[in-house]
Amino acid sequence: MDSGYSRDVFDAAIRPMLANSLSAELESLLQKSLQQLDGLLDTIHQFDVESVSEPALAFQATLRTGNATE
Amino acid sequence: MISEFDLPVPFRSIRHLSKLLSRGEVTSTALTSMYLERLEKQGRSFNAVAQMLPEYALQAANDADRARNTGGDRSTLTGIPFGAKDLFAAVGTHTRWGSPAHDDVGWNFDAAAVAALKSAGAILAAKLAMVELAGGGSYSGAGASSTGPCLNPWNREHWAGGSSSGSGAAVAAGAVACALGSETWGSVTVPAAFCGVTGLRPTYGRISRYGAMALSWSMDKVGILARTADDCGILLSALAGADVRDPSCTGPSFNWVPGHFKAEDLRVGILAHDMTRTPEVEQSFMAAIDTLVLCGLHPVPAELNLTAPVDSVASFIIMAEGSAAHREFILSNKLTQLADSVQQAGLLAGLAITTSDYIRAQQIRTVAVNQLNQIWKDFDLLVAPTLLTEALPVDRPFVDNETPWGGNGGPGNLAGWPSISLPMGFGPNALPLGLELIAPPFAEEALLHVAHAYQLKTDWHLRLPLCV
Repeated sequence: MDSGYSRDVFDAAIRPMLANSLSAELESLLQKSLQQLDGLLDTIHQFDVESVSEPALAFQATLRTGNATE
Repeated sequence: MISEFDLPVPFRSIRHLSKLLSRGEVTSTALTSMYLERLEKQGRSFNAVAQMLPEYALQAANDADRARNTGGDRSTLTGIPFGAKDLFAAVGTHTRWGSPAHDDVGWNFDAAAVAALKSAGAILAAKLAMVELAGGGSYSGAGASSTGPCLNPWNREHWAGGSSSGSGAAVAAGAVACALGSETWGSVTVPAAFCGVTGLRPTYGRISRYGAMALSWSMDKVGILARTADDCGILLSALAGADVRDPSCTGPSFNWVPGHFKAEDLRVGILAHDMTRTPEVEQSFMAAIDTLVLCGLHPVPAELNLTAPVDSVASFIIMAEGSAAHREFILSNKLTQLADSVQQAGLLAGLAITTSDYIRAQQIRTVAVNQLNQIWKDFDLLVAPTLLTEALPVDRPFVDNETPWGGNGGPGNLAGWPSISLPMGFGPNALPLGLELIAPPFAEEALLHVAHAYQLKTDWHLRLPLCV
């Protein structure tokens, strides 16, 4: 994941919808949060979900997460 | 060992209070008045109270006394006062979700969990403090709440934990007999451990979330904070069951009957934690294991065999779902009224998560949960320290804490497993430590039996905080 990916998404898709412009302090914290998000995205994209022993599981993504039955 | 009979009435269990009510040794009106006074005095002094409900509670107590006197329908919970995290809607209350930016979300009805306890005869005495919006955007310190930092009844210079902060503190302070909380990642088990009370996080889908604030639709659970595991069983019996108003809530009903269980049939695994930097935790934990052996169990080392990045996936999903749930608020000019600016930033950042990345995280989650559930082929129950740290100082940012946090919240919450945190001793600053028992989905009965057996052989849950 490119560094700055989440920042680019935020600037293109979210920032224009904000009711107010952000203070300098909040802007600085936001940039940190977006960097942390990039880190999470890196971890998620580095995991090769198709390489696990039961690749079919990867196509069962659902909000009901395998615990709704006894 | 301390006996429950030695404790002042506010610190007695629901089981015990119910016997007092049945024998006519106390009335619900007297009990409710006592807890209301303690909520006003002790509860408020710990910043644990969001809203007192004295008129409603005293009227309900009067009704409960009349029901008991006339032999009407009654349960163990009839006439027992409780508190509810301000995340739950309740008739005649202002629900603010702990947020200084929400005057009142305007839900003038009882959340399913509140209604279930009222229906069982319990009395809602107060809405309790919480971390704003349950901390979905992450937060930097104890002050992230409309009611200020919730102080720990064991030491006011330390935090009560979160996000069910007031629920943990009020139970620990003897200001309510029990409380409703909720957990997405640690919000029941952390305040339970920090405040030295018993906290049950039921299986995802066990208790209806209708009328509760959504943080993460696929991870939120209604939880319980109480004095004993037995009390948690009583409360879960009243709360569990399917609800068409919450599509996740498909779970069966539950009927807790304490008593004999076949300990020798349970395979118990000890989850490995590096406790070299926390010798007090290790000492208490090993003593707890010895007690479980006295209960007839034979714990052996266990390990979660994982390749999937469980904690990262859990964080990502909470961030995505939390920001989606509160999208309109986050985009509005009210966002900056939240107390914690790190939380403001985290909620904003969560809006930058794309659909395809969210779905990828859910794909990995499916794989991760499958890997996690393999452990139940070899074990029926897992045991671990709830956390490796005591309650954090209330006046310092969390990042300044040098003690490792530890905990089992990522795997347990991602997979929707039930768990219970029990007091197991004290740390280097004389603050409570927690023992966590974890079970497969819908195996709360085994969880509660073992927790109850542990509490019959220990008195950590009967110790009282000096501050109260």
